[in-house]
This record gives sequence, structure tokens and C-alpha cells, in this order.
Amino acid sequence: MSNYIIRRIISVLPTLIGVTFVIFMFQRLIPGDPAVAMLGEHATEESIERLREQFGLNRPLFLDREALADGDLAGFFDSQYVRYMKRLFSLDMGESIHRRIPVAETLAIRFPATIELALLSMFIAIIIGIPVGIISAAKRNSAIDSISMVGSLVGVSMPIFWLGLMEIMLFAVLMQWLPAGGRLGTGIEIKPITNLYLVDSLLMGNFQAFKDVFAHIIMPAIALATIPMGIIARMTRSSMLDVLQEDYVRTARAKGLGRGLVLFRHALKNASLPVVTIIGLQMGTLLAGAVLTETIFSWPGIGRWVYDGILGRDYPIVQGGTLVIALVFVGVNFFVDIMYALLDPRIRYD
Amino acid sequence: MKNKSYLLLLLMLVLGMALVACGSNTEPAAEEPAAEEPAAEEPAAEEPAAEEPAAEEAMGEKIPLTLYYMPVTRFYYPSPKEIAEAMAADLAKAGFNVQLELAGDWPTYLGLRREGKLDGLYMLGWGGDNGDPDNFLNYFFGFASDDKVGDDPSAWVKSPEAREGWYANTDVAYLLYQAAVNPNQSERQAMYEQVEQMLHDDVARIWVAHNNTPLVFSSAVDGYVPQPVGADRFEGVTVDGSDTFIFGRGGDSVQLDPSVVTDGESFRVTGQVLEALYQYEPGGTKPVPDLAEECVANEAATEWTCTLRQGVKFHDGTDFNADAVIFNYNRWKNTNDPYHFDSQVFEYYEYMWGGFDDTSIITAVEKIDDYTVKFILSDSLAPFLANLAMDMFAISSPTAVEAAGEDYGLPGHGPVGTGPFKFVEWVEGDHITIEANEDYWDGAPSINQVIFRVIADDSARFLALQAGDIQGLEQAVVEDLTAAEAADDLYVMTRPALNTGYLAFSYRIKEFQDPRVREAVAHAINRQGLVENFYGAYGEVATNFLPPLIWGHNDAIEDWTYDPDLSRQLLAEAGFPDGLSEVTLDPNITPAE
Repeated sequence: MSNYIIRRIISVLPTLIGVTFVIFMFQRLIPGDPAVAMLGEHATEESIERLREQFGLNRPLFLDREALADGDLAGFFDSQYVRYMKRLFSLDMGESIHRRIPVAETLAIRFPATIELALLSMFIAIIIGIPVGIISAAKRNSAIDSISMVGSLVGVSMPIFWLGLMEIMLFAVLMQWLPAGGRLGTGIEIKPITNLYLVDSLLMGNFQAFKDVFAHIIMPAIALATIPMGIIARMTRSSMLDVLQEDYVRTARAKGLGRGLVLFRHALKNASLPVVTIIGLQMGTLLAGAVLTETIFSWPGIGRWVYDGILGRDYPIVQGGTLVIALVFVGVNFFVDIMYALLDPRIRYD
Repeated sequence: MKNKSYLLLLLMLVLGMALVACGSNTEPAAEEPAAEEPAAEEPAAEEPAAEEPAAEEAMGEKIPLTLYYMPVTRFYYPSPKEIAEAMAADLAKAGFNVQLELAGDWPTYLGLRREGKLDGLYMLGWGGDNGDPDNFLNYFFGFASDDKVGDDPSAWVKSPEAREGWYANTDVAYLLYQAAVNPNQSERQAMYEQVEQMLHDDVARIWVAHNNTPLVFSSAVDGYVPQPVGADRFEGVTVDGSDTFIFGRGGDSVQLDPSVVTDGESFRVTGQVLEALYQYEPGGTKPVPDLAEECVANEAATEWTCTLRQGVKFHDGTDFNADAVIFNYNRWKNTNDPYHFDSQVFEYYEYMWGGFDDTSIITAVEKIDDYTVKFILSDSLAPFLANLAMDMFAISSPTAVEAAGEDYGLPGHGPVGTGPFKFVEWVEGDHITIEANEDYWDGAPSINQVIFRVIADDSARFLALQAGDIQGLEQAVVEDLTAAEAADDLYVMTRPALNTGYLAFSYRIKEFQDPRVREAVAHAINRQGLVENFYGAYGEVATNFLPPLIWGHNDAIEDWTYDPDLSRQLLAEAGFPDGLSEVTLDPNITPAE
């Protein structure tokens, strides 16, 4: 097992290098130039050229053949990509072109915001999705089953922006229970420790702040949770139904074990493999797909940040943001693989 | 088994990288592959001419008649795609069969426009920078620096400018040059009115609409002053039952050093913290004194002597005086100034004052005494005071600029000026807070704190206003504006238009070189209908490039009527009785590759 873990960790590196390469290439295939995007409508050619040079955008993308023809080997490798990778290996993600703020600095604040939202959403999706799936499977073809499966279909298909606006309309405008957006109320101070505000406010012992943070996060978390909730519920149900038809379940029931015991002790564990897989995949989707939720609820996470970065051709932001998302994706997959072994003793990684 | 699949993946990645690296290496345009690659949007324009038969090349390449619409919403075009569709429908009734084309996203669109590659009709607009007609007309129709050959301006010839759809009108450019250097206000006004008439007679472009900007407030808010030019004024704002005013906006500021940015969201904040020598009168465009008590010109308007206000302090406690003014102007003007950093682009300085260093119209700012400075210009510049009042030329504390260096105006180092509000904090992408400057020379502001909050989504921003999270906002969808006008606890205020949306011709299209065809287009589009359908109560049909608010607007211009029959007739006279669906590229005009 430990061998496997080490090998997996080593194999992550080339994957990430591949990711940097693909991101690097694709965003530069989109027409448009960061200098033009930044300077706007009446910039002179000289200003644009100066800014290009400042950010190294006048260098070739990967390798400079002209320099090679001139016998300049250092120049041959002195490309945008090589410069970027050099910096990356010294753990420098560069700085934003528009605001010159180090990407790592912004990530340190914005990434936890997205993680916090995604984790809470996933938590909501799991604690509702799995029980609903189990009950539906246990009471197959009953009214409860139909209602919950239609409900989960609605959850999967409902546009997030619509749901988000409805939530705001209902809970912020009409009932005035919750704030309409943002991450923290005016005048509330949180000392950043983990930058997960729910955690930080608890660590500070400031329950006033915790309440405020919770009031801000709950609506976006629910909006973001609907899709994975529906998927998890449906996956749990179908997986449970498969397992419930197995011989050993019938045997367990036949030897007189209670219905609940069989359902939870015997069936659920075996039915959970595909559910864990789907949860892992959904976690990645939550991180990457939070753009809409973050926009509607003015949530200062990385989704919106990277989105704005793409529009403004702010390459370092796009590269840094996507690299971190990719890293999490790889990490979650890794974690899911380990979970397999824990859940199913037949799976061994040696 | 899993291990093997990972090894395989790794191998594929490495191979892929190697392949793509070699591939990209063979590209001829190694300098800038993204922009230089043949744009998929424009296969016709990019096709190598060598493959065409020689005869056809001389005739010019045939392309479909295209209307390019903007990928983004701007004041002057609230919903570009829908407006383009309506225009296309109108044009079809008059015999123009246009294809709609989205050329790419905004930077792409601007890039193609800059290179003169929007071959057809294209939508764009302009928002004024300083309320002077020169700032509208000269930028589009004046001489480019390359045109100014020799010392005699009357001999200069305007060459077709790629950025302006290859349009060139030397008479217009010369008149604009004369107006720009003439200090006599009434003579200038007559010249701009004449320019408007000439552009109209030439059907140079079709002016579509001006749009006033609606702002929505909670009824608890009072005293907000929208400015047609320059930042809106927050110092008179009061909020019933609160000492804080929270304003919702669609995007964050780029940077808070106004001299290096160009976006309105930055100026909205810096305009409260920093002040320039002049400002625009409340609610209007006329320049009135601010940090200067007055500026007086010599007869030729080449030297302006400004008396500065005494006893004014920057927020860091240092004195505002002649040295501070000179420090700021030198920093913007001189590329070798230690605080003119390479990573910063002083774009507006270059644009308003003609360039940096030796090319700058301001050749020097001299200190006469501690509270008097003299601006020496290389040429007379009629809009001098209007320029001086711009948000970008607001005076920062030299001490603060020296201390923060390159980071001045970034979230960690807010701007330090003399204005009614002091910078407090900037949480990027979330909010900016400013607080009242109790020692403000013109009296402390009515509100204690202003928070600018970013809420990107228009509907969510309006809901936040209804929920009471914010007390004012800019930019709302039409349905929400209607709701706001009907609501008891909200009201709508408009900022007068300083913008114009237009439809431009690419004069690279041979057919458009015939004025009858251009006039046919003008009569084909129902602009009144467009305004009613897409601008609601806040828009008006444009008859000039200059909005009615600006002097120089020519009221006497007889606008093109909406008349599809006349349109067809003009088109027939021009030799297209069956309408126009294919057009010819002029082979003599070639955009740079």
C-alpha cells in the first residue's frame, strides 16, 4: 500500500506538468492579447509593445527557432513557457498582469473561500443524498421512491443561477432572514488562520462572526449542493438496488437478521464504492463549476476570479487558478482510490 | 494494472508535449502566435492572394455583406446582439441582406477593429473622457501623427486609418486641428458644428443612440450627484438612519492610482479620494477650479499660470503645494522619472497630452512660487482646462508615491490625496471602503463611510438593493428598472449621456465607398424603433456624434428619415436594383498582417 501511495504521488508530477502545458497552450490559442485587454481602446502601439515586453509576452511561446538559427542556445529556450516553468519550480506562480498582485497571495484567500463553499455543499449533498437514495432503494417503487427520484431529477436539472436568484428573492428580500450575498457582513472582523471563515470564527471563539459567516454561506452552499445531491441520491439508489439482489443479502435476511441491520451493515458498505467514486468526481466539478454560484452570490472564490482572468487575458491568474483546481482534482481521485481499498478488502494496490 | 495505465498516460503526455512543442515551433509567426494565427472569423480576408486568379484579384475579392456586433454590453449598446438582429431585419426590408457575425470576445473585437479587419458594417461607440468636443471628434477623425508631414497644417493629408474603418476626410481633419488650437470658445463651437454637418453630409457613420445611465437608490438615500464626466460625487450623500453608504457595482477597480488605469470603476473610487487642479461643475461638463484657485492663459494659450489653493493637506498630513503638482506631472510625463515605472502605462497622459517626454504638449511645469505653477505648452491647446480636470490627472501625495513605489494604488497601498474621503481598505473582488476626511478643505462630507461592493450579476445586485444589503447601484436590467420606478422604497436617477453608439462602415468595402449606398443604409435603419425597444426611457436617437449635452452639438442637422423605399431607390441608383448581399474588398487597401 505505501509503495502504491509513493508511486502515485510521483506520477502526479508529470500529470501536473501536462496540465500546465495544456492550459498554457489553450489560453494562448484564444485570440486577443493581455496588453490590449488591459490598455483598452486608445492605447498606442508603443504602450502595448512596452507592456508586452514587461510581461515577456513578446517572447515565443515554447521555443525560439530564430535564436537557434543564430546559434543562441540560451535564446532558443528563453520562451514564455520555459520562463513560466522555471518560476513555477521555485514555487512562484507569477503576478497578475492587471494588478501585479502575486497569484499565490490571492489564491491563499480565494481558494479557501471556494473550498469552504464546496465542502459545505458536498456535506449537504451527502447527508441528504445518501439517506434519500437508501430509503428509495429500500422502498422501491413506493410513493416515497417516486417523489425522491423526481426530486433528485429536478435537483440535477435546475439551473443554478435561477435557484440562486429565487433563494435571494425569498430569504433575503421577502423574509429578510439572510444577506443577499458576499462572504462576511460589514463590520465583522475575522483573523485569518485557515481562511476557512467557518473554522476561523470558531477557532477565535467568536460565535457572532460564526453566525454571520454561516448566514452568508448557507444559500450559495444549498444552490451549489442541488446537482451533486441529486446525482448522489440516484447513484446510491441504483447501487443499493444492485446489492440488495445479491445472494448474501437474501441469506442474511433468511437467517433472521433485521431489515435495518442488513441494509446498513451488509448492503450499504458494498453499495458505497460507486457512490464514493461519484462523490470524488463531483467534488472536482464543484470546485471548477462554482463560477455561477460565486457570481450570483458575490462569493469571492477562484471560479469567478479565473473567469475574469480569462476575459482579461490575465494569463498568470488563469494558469495559477487552473493548476490548483487540477491539483485538487488529482488529490481527490487519489483519495478515492485509497478509499476503495478501505471499503473493499478485495482491492489491493501491490 | 492501475500503475501501468498511469505509466501509459505519462508516456502519452510526454509524447504529446514533444509533438506540440515541435508543431508550435514550426509556426512562422513565432512572435505572437495567438494573434497572428489566421483568424477563423475571417477566412476571406486572410486567404493568400496568390491562389486567386490575377484578374479577380484586381477586381477585388467578393465576401458576404456582414454586420459585426459587439460581444459585450456597453452603455451605448445595452443589448448588442438583439440590436444587431433588429438592424439586420430593417436592412433586409431595404434590400440589404446582411449576415450577423460575432468576431470573438471584446479584446479580439477591439483588436480586429484596430487592424481594420471588420470588413463590413460594425457596431461600436464612444464615451467621452473630458466633456470637450475635441475628445469625441478629433480621436476619430483628426490627423494621425503620421499625417502631420511638414510645418503647414493646411497641406497635411489625412490617410485612411485602419482603426476607423479606413475612413479619411482631410477637410474634417483640418477643421478639427484648427478647433483644437483655437482658444476662442465661440469660434470653436462653430467649427465643431460645421464638422458635424460635414460628417452628416458625407454619411461617414450612422449615429444610432445616446443612452443616459440609470442609477437606482433606496429612498433613504439623498444627495448623490451623478456626473456626466468625471466620477460621481459622494460627499453630499446622506442615508437615513445610517452613517454608511454601500454602493453596488458590477466590477472591481483595476488599480487605485488613477494615472495608470482607464476603467470607470477605478475612477469612481479615486475621484472621491484624490482631486485635480480643476473639476467639472456638479452635474455638468464645464471645468471649474478645484485644487487650483484659477488658471490663466497667455494670449496664445501656450502658457497657463495656475494659482493653487493654500492650506490644503494630503491625507498623510503633508502639504499640497507647487512641488506636489510638479512631482505628479513630472512622474506622468517623463519616462525616465524614478516613479514612472516600466510596469505602469500612463495611457491617459499619453493620449490626452500627445505623448511623453519631448512629444508631450506640456513641455514643462515651472514653479513660480510655493503656490503658483506655470504650464508651458508646445502648442496652444484649447481643451486645456477640460483635460486638467480629468480624474486621471488628480494629484497624489508625493510622499505616499515615494513610499509605495510601484505598488502605489494597489490593494496594500491605497491612494493618498486631498479629497473628501480617505482610503481605508480594499478586499480584492469584494469591496473597497473609504471614510470621511474630517479636515477636508471644503468641509467634511455628510456621510461617514462609503463602501463600494462588487456584485457582478445585474439581477443579484438589484435583489441586494431590495434586501437592503446595499443602498444604491449602477446598471440594472430593464425589468428591474421598471420595478424600481414603481416601488415606494426605491427611486431611479439618471446620469446624462456622454456616449454615442454608432454603426461604422468599413471603407475597404468598395460598395460603401459610394455615398448613395451609405445613405441607403442610413435610411434603412429604424433608429427610433431601436431606442424604444432596447433603450427604454433612458435612450435617445443620435443625430450627431456629440451628445446634446456637449457644446458643438449641431441642432440644425436634418436627421435621416426611416424610409426603406428611399433606401431601395438609392441602392438602385448606385447600381444595385436587386439589393446587396455580396460585397467587394478593395484590393488597394490591405490590413497589416
